[in-house]
Amino acid sequence: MARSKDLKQPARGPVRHSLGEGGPVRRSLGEGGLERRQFLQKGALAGAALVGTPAVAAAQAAAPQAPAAPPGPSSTPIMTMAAEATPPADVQVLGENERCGSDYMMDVFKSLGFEYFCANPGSSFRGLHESLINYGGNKNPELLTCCHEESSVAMAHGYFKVEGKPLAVMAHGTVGLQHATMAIYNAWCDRVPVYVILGTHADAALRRGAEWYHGVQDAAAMVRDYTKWDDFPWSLTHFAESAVRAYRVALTPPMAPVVMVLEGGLQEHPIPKNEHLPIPRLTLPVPPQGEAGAVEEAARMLVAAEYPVLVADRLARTPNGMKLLIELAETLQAAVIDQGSRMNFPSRHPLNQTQRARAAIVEADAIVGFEVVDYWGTVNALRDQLHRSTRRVAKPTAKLISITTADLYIRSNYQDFRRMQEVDLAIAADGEATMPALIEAVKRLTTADRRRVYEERGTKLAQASRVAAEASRVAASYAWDASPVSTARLSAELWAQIKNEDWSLVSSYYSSDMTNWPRRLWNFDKSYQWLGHAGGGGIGYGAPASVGGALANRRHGRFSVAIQTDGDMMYAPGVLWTAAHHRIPLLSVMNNNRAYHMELMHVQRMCNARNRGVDRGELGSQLIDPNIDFAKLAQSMGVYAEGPIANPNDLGPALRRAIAVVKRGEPAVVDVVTQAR
Amino acid sequence: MFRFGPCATAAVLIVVASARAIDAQAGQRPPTFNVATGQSLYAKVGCETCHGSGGRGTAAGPPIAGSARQLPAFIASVRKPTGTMPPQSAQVVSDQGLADIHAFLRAASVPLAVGRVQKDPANESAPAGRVDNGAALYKKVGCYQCHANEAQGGLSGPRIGPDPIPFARFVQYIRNPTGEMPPYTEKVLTNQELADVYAFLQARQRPPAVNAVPQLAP
Repeated sequence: MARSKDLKQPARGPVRHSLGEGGPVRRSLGEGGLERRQFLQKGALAGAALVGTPAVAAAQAAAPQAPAAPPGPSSTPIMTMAAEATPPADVQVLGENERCGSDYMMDVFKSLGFEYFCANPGSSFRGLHESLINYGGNKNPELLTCCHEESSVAMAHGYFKVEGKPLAVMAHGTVGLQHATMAIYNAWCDRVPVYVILGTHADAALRRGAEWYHGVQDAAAMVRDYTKWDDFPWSLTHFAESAVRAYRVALTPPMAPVVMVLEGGLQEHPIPKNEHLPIPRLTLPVPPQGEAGAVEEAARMLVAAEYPVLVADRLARTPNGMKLLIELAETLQAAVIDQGSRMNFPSRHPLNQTQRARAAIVEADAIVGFEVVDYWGTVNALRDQLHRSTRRVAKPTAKLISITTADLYIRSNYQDFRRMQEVDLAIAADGEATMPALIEAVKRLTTADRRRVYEERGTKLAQASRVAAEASRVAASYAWDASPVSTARLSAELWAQIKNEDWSLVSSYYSSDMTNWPRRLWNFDKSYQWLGHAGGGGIGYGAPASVGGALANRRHGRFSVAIQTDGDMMYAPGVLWTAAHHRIPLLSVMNNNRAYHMELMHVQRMCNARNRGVDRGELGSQLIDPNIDFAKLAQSMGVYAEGPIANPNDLGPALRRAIAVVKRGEPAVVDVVTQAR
Repeated sequence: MFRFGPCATAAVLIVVASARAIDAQAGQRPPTFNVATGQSLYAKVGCETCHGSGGRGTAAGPPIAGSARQLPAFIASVRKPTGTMPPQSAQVVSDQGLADIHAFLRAASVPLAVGRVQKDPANESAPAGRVDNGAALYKKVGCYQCHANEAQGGLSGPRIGPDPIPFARFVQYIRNPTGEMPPYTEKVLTNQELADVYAFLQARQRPPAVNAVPQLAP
């Protein structure tokens, strides 16, 4: 096939760029070389059809041919004053009637509605970079300067969870993607769409020196196990279709990151302005709804149950998801456990039994898992001792129902799909999309007798919820005056300062735990107040994801706050500079326990199990000697900061000062020296 | 250093005998209940984790020893608790098992309720411990990692101070935990060192009244 032949054929002889009169730039590849860039503009199939035609032959013949330069070292010009004073033979700038491939790419990206591109600059996508800031006007999308590709992707991750729209990330296909991989994996595990654009120069005959390091045959291979789709377009037409397809694939539940690899020449090569290159229309598929009969069966189980429990994890894709879960729960007066990957259910709703989740699971006779990542772990327990053991905690007779898009898509290599749980009814569908039909069926099947049972159940659940909430307040009062500051007091002080704001907790590292302090003490009742967690457990998510979340909140005038851990911040603290540079208002309150405490606990567990003494358990997991001064770190990047604060009585005033800064539209950091967890 | 030995065993037997006598008088339990089995189940099922040794209560759960609650009501409260306690199904512990636990709790209450006979080993006072050394050990061996610096509890472990479970149970649990906590052998932490840690836990500051803390207002 002509395309293959063209790509594989090494170009011999020197390369010259020339500009005809107002015509397109052509590249001469020397003897017998087909001008590949021109060939690529119109699409591979069209190109293939035209190869060898008289028209093409005539065009090639008409193209200016560069004279061959002498081979060897003498081909390098000797720069003398006279030589410098000599005007070049060709003026190598874009003609009035031309634009570039990346300009068209920007048209396509604009059509998809991207508001921001995040990037640490890289030459393999310099063409697109220039098109973004000049041709595109640096607006919709606007370029955000990032100091690490992992930060770029995690910012996109956090942004999506607030705004429900993906950001694009530009990166080198090699060194940039290698930095980005952890954050992509987090997004994959969290089923969050991130639109990754990679640059590479495929044509080995035309690579600059550095482009060899940045060149790769199959850039996306590195992340193919944890992305949903990728492509490496060979023409602009191909690009446009794949760009729109990638967006559609990424946004169709189960959502996930996608990768577009953009060839450097395809970005940079001029094309005629008047050349018609269509922009495909984007139509997002409707998320799959559960089959009607199966939904009816699920409703029957719920209506008949004496103690139904609704477990939600990645359920709420949109703000409507929470409303629907409230309606279903109130219709049934059923217990709800919000496992927290999304903001699924108000924390103080009387039916919220999250703080006594295990008790609810043990008692349940019907459990519905809505987009639950770890269903097995929800109804079973694993004891992590020297010899691990498992046991079921749910009743053996409890009816188990799952509604999840996870059944529609699974990959093999990475094991984020968790242990398989036998269920009585599995509905392979989107939880939120299925909810209206389920609510309707439950209402239709509910009799007056059942309604009385529901009401009794609801009264008991409300009482249990009140008891749990009061227990949390009492628990938070212990070690109230301790130094370092207790994590409960940190949360309580923060809540006291922000509860009258339109706030959003954009990151809290321990958010994977349902019993962390904000969720025990704060009143979460809006969809944007809780963004869930990293997904893959990769540290380094919190700081950049919180900046991304705050970026999305900025346009809505919301107050963004993050509880930021020290270990996480040290992965890529440069994101603080990004926040300062782009005036992203965010209050980061450091939960600075001066250690990687989760890992410290694991090491100690090994010390205990091996009975070799535990007094060295902290080695390798602490961040002391010297202590890290996060206030200075933040200040060095233009961020208002205070700390380290070890006296809990100093915390409230420091928070008030920092909040005033954030309300001015800037980021601020308050470094709090805290207890372990 | 101190050790548990025959004295503790004898005390348990006496408690068992007392319970049988009381139950015989009350005539409210099946004749086959077994206090020793109840004691074992009480630990195995995990009641002890919150309700403490002998049902005397901890920070996480109220005292349940010596409750006037009759067996059917006791079983009902375990099967369908109204608070934060996880319900225990018949698959986890049978009605017979609950009868045994009920008997054990009644038996465990005797020394306190009547103020005579033998002491429950679980209620024996701890040997003298040094708070300062306990504080150092609490940090050194990593108790703080799960239970937080002031023993107030955290994400991974419950509150264990200032009202720790009775010392004997404290030692028993640390040596052979039934939950997620890693075990500490005497090689790692001697009984005297545990007494020091226990003294540290007892010395933890009590919290302010929660309603007096404006930051904790709902």
